Amino acid sequence: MLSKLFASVAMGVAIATILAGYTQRSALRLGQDKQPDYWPRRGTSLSGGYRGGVWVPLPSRRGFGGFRGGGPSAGK
Amino acid sequence: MPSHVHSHSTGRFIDAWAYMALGSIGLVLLAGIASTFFTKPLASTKVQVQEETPAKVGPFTLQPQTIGALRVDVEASIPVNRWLTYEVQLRDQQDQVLAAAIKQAWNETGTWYEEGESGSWQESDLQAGLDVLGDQAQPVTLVIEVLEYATNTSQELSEPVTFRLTAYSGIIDTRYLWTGFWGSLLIAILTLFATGACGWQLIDKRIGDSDVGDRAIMGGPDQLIKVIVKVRADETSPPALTCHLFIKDGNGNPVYKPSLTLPMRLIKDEDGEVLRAQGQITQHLVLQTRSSYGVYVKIQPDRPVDETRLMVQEGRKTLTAIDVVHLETV
Repeated sequence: MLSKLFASVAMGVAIATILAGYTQRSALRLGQDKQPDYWPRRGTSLSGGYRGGVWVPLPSRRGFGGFRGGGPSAGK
Repeated sequence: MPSHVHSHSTGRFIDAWAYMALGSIGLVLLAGIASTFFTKPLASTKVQVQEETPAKVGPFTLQPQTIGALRVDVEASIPVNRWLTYEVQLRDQQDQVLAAAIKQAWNETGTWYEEGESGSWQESDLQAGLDVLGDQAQPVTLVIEVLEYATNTSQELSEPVTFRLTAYSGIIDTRYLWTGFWGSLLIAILTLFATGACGWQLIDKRIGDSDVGDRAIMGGPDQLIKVIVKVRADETSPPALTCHLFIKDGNGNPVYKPSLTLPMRLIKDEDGEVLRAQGQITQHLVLQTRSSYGVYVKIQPDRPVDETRLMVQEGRKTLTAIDVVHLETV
């Protein structure tokens, strides 16, 4: 029965997304070298990473001055 | 063979799966409402930051949490046509950086010209956000640092920038809940369609006349049978026709022969003149004994009828309680 399959998928999607939301799957995990699930919020990108549990800033952190604004005129 | 006929309303053929699919949307909505109960505000403040002089807020205790995370939201306020690169940091008691993220914020305005018209636009992207999870309780200080501040003509500025900083604990990532909401909504709609399409066709016969019928093996106590009669008639059609339905047993004896009113929808042209008419009726049946049954329909009056189509489907499911005619041959 197709409705059984669809309903199970719908429930699966609901439970999986609730779990991911409640456990903050995509948050930054302090001190963890690997952040496979990190999902930036509001276009905020990490400016470093962990090596052996210690925060190491990106070498280019001070080089973000290349930024030339956004908006409709960007790139024109 | 004598038969026992009774009509009743039943919810026995309701597809529970359809309701489970709808329930999954409800579950996501509930989770969204419940998420607000876990949130605890930690700080909401305005700070002024200048290049080389970061602002500190806190410390707060970062607790390991099973539900939610520590959220830092920052919004810069800068005049138009400025670019700002700022960093949000978490530092420990020894002032060591625990985590940091960069936002490239801007606020711009300009003029647009299109097809001889013009106007001004203003757009900005000033907000930064960072969700953090820690596996041990520790005090953290939030730091905002301006890395670069300039006009859109690349002129460096050293003015202070005002930031609004808010921090919460126990924040749930609602982006997942939105994904879950739209996802389960979409699949629930598919489920409803699947419920409506449930079952299989036993008879589908179309004839350019007013009576049609066929025979098929059908029935059983748990099979919902749906008989659909579709009629197309010419412009002389009355607003309603009579549909004589005959269900005949294996020996050809009628076990159920109702006369049903078939309302016709008159299709008119622009001048209000009737062009043709069409109508449809459905009847749900449960045949207690699985056997060979004949289903026949005869439409009266037959003169205006152009085409009659009979469809018999078995294994149907419904979304609500329906009226069912239960036939028991004894």
